[in-house]
This record gives sequence, structure tokens and C-alpha cells, in this order.
Amino acid sequence: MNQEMHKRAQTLILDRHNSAARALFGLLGRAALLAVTALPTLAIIFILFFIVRESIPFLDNLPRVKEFFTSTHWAPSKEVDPSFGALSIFYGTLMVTVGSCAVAVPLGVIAAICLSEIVSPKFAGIFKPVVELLAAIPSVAYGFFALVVFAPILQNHGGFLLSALALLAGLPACAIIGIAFSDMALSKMLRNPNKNQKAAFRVIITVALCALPVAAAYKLFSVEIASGTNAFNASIILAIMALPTIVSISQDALTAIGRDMREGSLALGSTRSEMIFKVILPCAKSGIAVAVILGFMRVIGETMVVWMASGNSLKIPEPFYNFLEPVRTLTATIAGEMGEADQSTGSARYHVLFAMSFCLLVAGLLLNGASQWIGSNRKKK
Amino acid sequence: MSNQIRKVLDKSFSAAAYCALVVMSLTVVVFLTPIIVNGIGAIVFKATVEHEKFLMENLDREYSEKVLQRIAEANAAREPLYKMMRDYERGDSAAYKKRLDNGISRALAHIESGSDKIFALLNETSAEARVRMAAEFSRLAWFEYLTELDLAAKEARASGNSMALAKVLQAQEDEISEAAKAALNELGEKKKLTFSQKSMLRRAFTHGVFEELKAKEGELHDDDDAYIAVKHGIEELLGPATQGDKEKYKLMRQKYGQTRMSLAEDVLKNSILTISITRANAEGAEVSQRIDSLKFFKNTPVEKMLLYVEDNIDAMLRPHWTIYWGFFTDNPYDSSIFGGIWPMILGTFYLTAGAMIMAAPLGIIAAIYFAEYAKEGKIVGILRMCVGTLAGVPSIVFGLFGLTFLINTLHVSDNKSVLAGAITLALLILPTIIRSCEEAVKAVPNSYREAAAGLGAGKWRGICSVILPSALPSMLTGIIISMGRAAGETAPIIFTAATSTGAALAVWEIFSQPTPALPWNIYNICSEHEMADKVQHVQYGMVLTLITIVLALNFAAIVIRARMQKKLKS
Repeated sequence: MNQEMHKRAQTLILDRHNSAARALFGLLGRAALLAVTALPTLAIIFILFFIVRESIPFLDNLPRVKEFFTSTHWAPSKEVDPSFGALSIFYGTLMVTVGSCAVAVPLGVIAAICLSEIVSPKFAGIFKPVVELLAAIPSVAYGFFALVVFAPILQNHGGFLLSALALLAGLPACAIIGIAFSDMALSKMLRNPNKNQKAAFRVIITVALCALPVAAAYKLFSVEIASGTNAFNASIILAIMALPTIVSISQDALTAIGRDMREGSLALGSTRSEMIFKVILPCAKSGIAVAVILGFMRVIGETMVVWMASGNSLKIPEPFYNFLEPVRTLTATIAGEMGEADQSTGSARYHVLFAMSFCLLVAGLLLNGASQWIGSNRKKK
Repeated sequence: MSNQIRKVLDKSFSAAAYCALVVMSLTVVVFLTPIIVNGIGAIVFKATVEHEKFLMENLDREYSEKVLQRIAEANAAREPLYKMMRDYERGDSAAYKKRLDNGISRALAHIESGSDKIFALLNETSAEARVRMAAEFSRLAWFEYLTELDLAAKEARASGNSMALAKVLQAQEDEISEAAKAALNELGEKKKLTFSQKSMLRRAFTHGVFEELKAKEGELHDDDDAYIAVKHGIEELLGPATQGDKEKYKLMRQKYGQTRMSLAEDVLKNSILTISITRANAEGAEVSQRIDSLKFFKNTPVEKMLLYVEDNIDAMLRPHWTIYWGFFTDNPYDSSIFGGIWPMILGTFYLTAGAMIMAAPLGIIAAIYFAEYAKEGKIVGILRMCVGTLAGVPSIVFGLFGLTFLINTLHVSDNKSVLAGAITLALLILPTIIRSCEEAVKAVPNSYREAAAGLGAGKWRGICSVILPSALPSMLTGIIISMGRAAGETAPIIFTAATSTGAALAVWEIFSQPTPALPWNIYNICSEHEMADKVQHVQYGMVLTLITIVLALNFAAIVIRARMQKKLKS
């Protein structure tokens, strides 16, 4: 009996021993887990450190930095008196980004609205793979499409394509705006218009507005595009790449809005589009803003498409909004010139490319910070 | 606003929304159609016998009797063409030489008989009169010779001997001036002429003849140039005529003709039936001109060759539909003009697998920490924020980081290597993996954790034996999608791992050697290839392969997800 008790006590002591070891082991394990989890943080710090370290030899010279941001003369490989004016490159980046967002944001937000508000959830589930497909296609494949398929079409039938686009998009839009505007104007101007007056007024306003896209299409028809690889081409393809990000994140933001909002709005007698514009969109605006920012980030950081499709010309287009001229972006410059820059010895050209990537990194961090800030504000609400 | 208008606006907004969906779907169709159609063309195409010749001689493929016979028949069909070319090039120059030499001696005889007339030149003081007299004299003297020359040139073109005649004419110039010098010397001895008088007379003798010769020679040379251009075109189409020629050439593209019928038709149209020759234009500058060779060679033997090529191209190349699976498993030859894309596929595999091996365990561990251990606080908030920030770093910046940190600072390899590229890609996809795995771990119901704890499992044990297995399928979805992203990324590997040419690597070489990879080689073959239009099928084939790999991975992820949802429902 006594012996048995003793045995049991021993196992208990062993257990205590065991549990101490276990606790130690657990602590070590947690430390290891934490170390692995800190890896992204470490990576961010290292990336910042190394990019800054390599760009400092360029950025420590103030006149050179001024030249970097204000001059358009870019000849970093010259032996004597090289020049580092990157203004046109910054402008090209801005142009392509703005252009692609101008296409992708309206299209993406409308598509997200359609998927979450208009079509049935079942159809939205069927459509999801299309969005995922667009997101999954590698950027170099988009670049290939831009260079090999789209650029020749743009170069040979650019005028026709642009005028067709103006007609297809502009005519319905102008017709609707015309109808809505004439109605609003009518109710303001005349107290009790008779039927004929109404109809005549509507027709006149709508036809006048519809003349705009027709005139634009007529003018665009005779446009000749010198090179198919230009800012327009790059913008369109980048817009396609940014679409999935914008659609899926906006869609999430829209579906997160409760039923009560929709039902309340409908019960007050609004049509579906009024509900969307007056209730749903204001509620989801922070989520949509995050979607737009993330789409923006994808476009700014994209390399292969702009390298292959933007034409890589070092000029600021004339006039400055001419999207049919080739431009050059930061990412394309880095990718194109780093291969030739003297990597190991660290020439001025090597460092200026790092300074460019530093600018990109800063832009990325700022945008990312903005999206996280908006996101966290939304959560607090 | 009236209700009617509100209704119209509502309907038109719905229409616009549907249009957005249609535009997106159309984009997918417009994007994928040319790539799929032309990409399949890289594997299924109308091949010529040159394709089989290339495979037999370089890749040791064995073929049936039937194919060998086809090659023999094609060679037999080429023989008449080669015979025509040989005959044309041989030409008989001796007869022309005799005729023209005859003409020279007659002209010299004329000079001797009319020497009085020419001496009158010396007494003439006005330069104008001198030139007129010289022209008159030389026209008379060389009349017969020039007629003979004209006749010979016409005959030569018609019989296909213009190359032979051009050679004779080249020598004629020297012969004429030699003969004129000799004749003058004789006269000079007699009349005791000064040097300047002699040279003046010599100019008078040969006045206008050289110009005439040059012009004729130029015409014949044009013939010659054009013929050489046609000959090059034929060589491009069919490959070298003889084994000797074949060994002489170094580049693979010169050793074989066109392997694809579509390219062969292009060559026929652009390098044989129309050719470019350099000609002097009105201002005397040499310019390249495109000409219609059938028109140029009208009524000459070359016309017969051209017609033969045009009519018998099928017999000489024996086109037939073939499926070339070797596109995926063969090495590329001569800048991808021949062969397949095996090294690029293998390189993409190495990079993707390497990135996954590194990123997946780390990502899963970090996800477990975030989901199971971390208590929300400042530090965890910062860690979480950094995951988001890392996801927002542009991919090209990852490439530069890999270059300056991994290669220039850590020296993981002397130069670019698969290892450096895989580490860079792993960093790139780490945030995505962490996020999706965290979602997966969080989605495991709490009852599982409680049950594991109730059965006496410690936290770690519970995670390993209960939570991870049940979260695995949905983790796999995220990991596989990231894998697709790693396979398609280009910018991070430009400076860390990719090279445009190179053989397939063995496994132990991945630590020190750069590799070709599909994404980088697609860029390279589109933008920096010297004959981009000759390798369009390879471009499309590569893009289709890459897209297929990426979409297959995504499809696998979708299938896993769908199965899981089914399981959860039941």
C-alpha cells in the first residue's frame, strides 16, 4: 500500500517536473512563433534600409536632387557630365496612373454595384471566376497582349477604334443626361408645360447633347496614331489589371451594408438607383475608397505592362494631356536600365535608379497607410 | 422630377451596370482568344519537311519509313530548281569576250586609219571645239563596238548569262585603256608627242565609251543583285542546297529552311516574289528598293525558276499537319527559332517551388500566431500593419532589394541565382499567404478547440492535431493562388534570377546559376529578339503555357474551395 502511494507521488513529482519543462518549451515555442511572425516587419525594415542606403549617394547632393525633380533631361549613362532629370518619367507615371484609374474606377465600382445590388447572388457567384481570372493572369501576359495584339490594332485602326468608343460610350450617356437635364430644367422654367412643349424641349436638348459625342467621334476618326505603344495603350491594359482589385474590394464593402438600410430606403419610395446613390454608396464610401487606393497601388507598382506598352519615350507629351504619345514610367526605367547600370561598383546611374525606387516605395507606403487608416476608421464606426 | 423620368434613369442605370459586367467578360474573351488560338498554333501546325529534318539531325528523333520517303520526295522535287540555278550561274563568258575583243581591235584599226583627223585636235585651240571633235571621232570609232555590246547584253539577259557578261565587262575597261595606250604610244613615237598631248589624245579616243560600259555593267549588276537576292530567298525557304553549304553556315537558322508552312509562305511572298535591291537613285545615292521579281526578270531563265518555286512549293516542302509535343520538352535552338521551351518551364518550376518551400511554412506559422496566440495590442498591431505594408511594396522594389541585399550584401550567390530569386519571390507572396492562412485558421469553429482541450491536448498539440488538419484545405487554396502569382511575377526576378539564354539547370545548380524563366523570356522574346516576327508562334506558345500553369493552379484552388464548401454544408 505504502509502496503504491510512493509510486503515485513520484509520478506526480515527475509530472510537475514535466510541466515545468513543458512551460519552458511552450515559452520557447511562442518566442519562435513570434520570431517568424516578425519576419514581414523585419523585411519592411530591411527593404527600407537597403533602398535608402543605396539611394543616399545620389540624394545627398542637393542641386542634383533639384535637377532630379525639375529637369526633363535624362542621360545618366554619359561619362562626362551626366544628367538626371526625371521629371518626364515622373510625369509619365502620373499620366498612366491617372489614365488607368479614370477607366478602372467607374467601371469597377459600377460592376461591383451590379454584382452586389442588381444581379442575383447566384449569378454573382457564377461571375466571380471572371474577376478572379482577370486577377490571376500574370502581368507579363497583359504586357504581351498590349505589345503584340493591341498595339498593332491601335496603330492601324486607332482612329476608327477611338471614334467607335466615343460613340458607344458617349451616345447613351448623353441621351440619358439630356433626358434628365431637360426634365429638371422644364420643371424649373415652366409651371405647366403642355405636352408638345415638353416633347419639343426634350428632343432639342437631347439632340444637342448627342451631337457632342458625334462631333468627337468625327474628329477622332481622322486621328492617326504614330506608335501603338503609348500612354493610352498602357492605361487601358493597366485599368484591366486594376479592375479585379477594385471590383472585389468594393463588392465586399457593398455587401457588408445591412438589409435595414436598403429596405428603409425602398420603403421611403426611392427607386433602386436612387437607393444606390443616396444610401448605399455614402455608406460604403470608405470601403470603396480603400478599393480605389489598392487599385491605384497596383497600377503605380506595375512594371511589365508599362515597360512593354508605354513606348518608353523620354518626352512629356505635347500637349500634356495627349494620351496617344509614348511615355515612360519609373518602374519601366528601373527595369530597363538596371540591367545596364554598373551594379557592383555602384555608379551614379545605379544610385539614381535606387532613388527612383525609393520614391516608388514612399508612394506605396503612403497609399498603404492611407488605406489602412481609412479601414481602421471604418472598423471603429 | 417626374416618376416616369425616375424610372427611365433607374432602368438606364441598371443597363449601365450590366454593361460593365459585359465589358469585363468581353475583356476576358478578347484577351484570351488570340492567345489561346495562336498559342495552340505553336504545338499544332502545318510543318514542312525541314521541321522533321531538324528534329532528326539535332534531337535524334526517329521517324518512320513514310517520313523518310517524304523527305526524299521533297529533295527530288527541289532538284530541277537547283539544276536551273547551277546552269544560270555557270554561264559562258568566252564567246562574249571574243566578240567584244574583236570590237576593240576594229575600233583601234579605225583610230589608226583616222589618225590624221585626230591629230587635227591638237591644233585646235578652243576647248569646246576640241570636245566636239573628240566626241565625233570616238562615236565613229566605237560605233561597231557599242552595237556589239548592246546586242551582247540583250542576248545575255535573255539566255541568263548576265552574270558572265558582267564579269567580261569588268575586264573590258582595263583592256580598252591598255589597248588605247599601246596604240597611242606607237603614234607618239612617230609624231614625237609631249605627255600632255598624249593624255589629251587618249581621252579623245575613249570618249564616251567608258560611260557606256559602266551603264551596261550597272544594268547587268542589277540583274546580278536581284538574282542573288532571289537565291538568298530560296535558301531561306528551302535551306542550303548542298551538304557543303550546310556545314559552312554556323547559325541554325541558316542550316534549315522554313519549318512552318505559314512562315514559308511569308518567305515566298516577301523574300522571293518581291525582293529588295540597292540601286542608285536620281541623285546618285544608293537606296534600297522593293521590286516585283517576276516583273523584273520577265523573259529570263530566272522567271522560270520563280514560277517553278511558286508552283512547286508544296512539293518541295511537303507541308502536313503535325502535333509537336516537343515544344514543351525540347531545348530551344538558335534564339528559340527552333525547338521548344523546356528550360523556361523548368526555371519557372524551380522558382515557384523554391518560393513556396520557403514562404508556405513561414506563412502558416505566422498565421497560427496571429490567429491563436496573439493578443490584440500595440506590438501585434504593428506586426499586422507590416504584413499589409509588405503587400503594398511594388514588385520591382522587391527585385532591387533582392539585388542589393541578397546578392550584393549577403552574397547568397556570386551573381543572379535561382536561390536569390526564390527568396525574393517568397518575400513577395508571404503577406498573401499569411492573410489567407489566418482566415483559414480563424474559420475553424471554436468547438474544435474546446473539444481538443477537453480531451487533454495542450494548445500546441491541439493546433497540430485538430486545427491545422481542419484548416488545411482552405489554407491550401490561398497557398496555391499565391503559387500562381509567384509563377507569373517578372519584375522581382529580373535582377535576381532570370537570364534570357541558358540551358535547363540541374537541381544542384539552382544555388549558383541563373535560369531562364517563362515570364522573363516572354518579355525578352517580344521586345529584344532580333527576329521577333519569326518567333511569334513561340511567343504565343510561351504566354499560353504560362497562363495555363497559372490558371490551372487557380482552378485547382477553386475546386478545393468548392469541395470544402460542400463538406461544410453537409
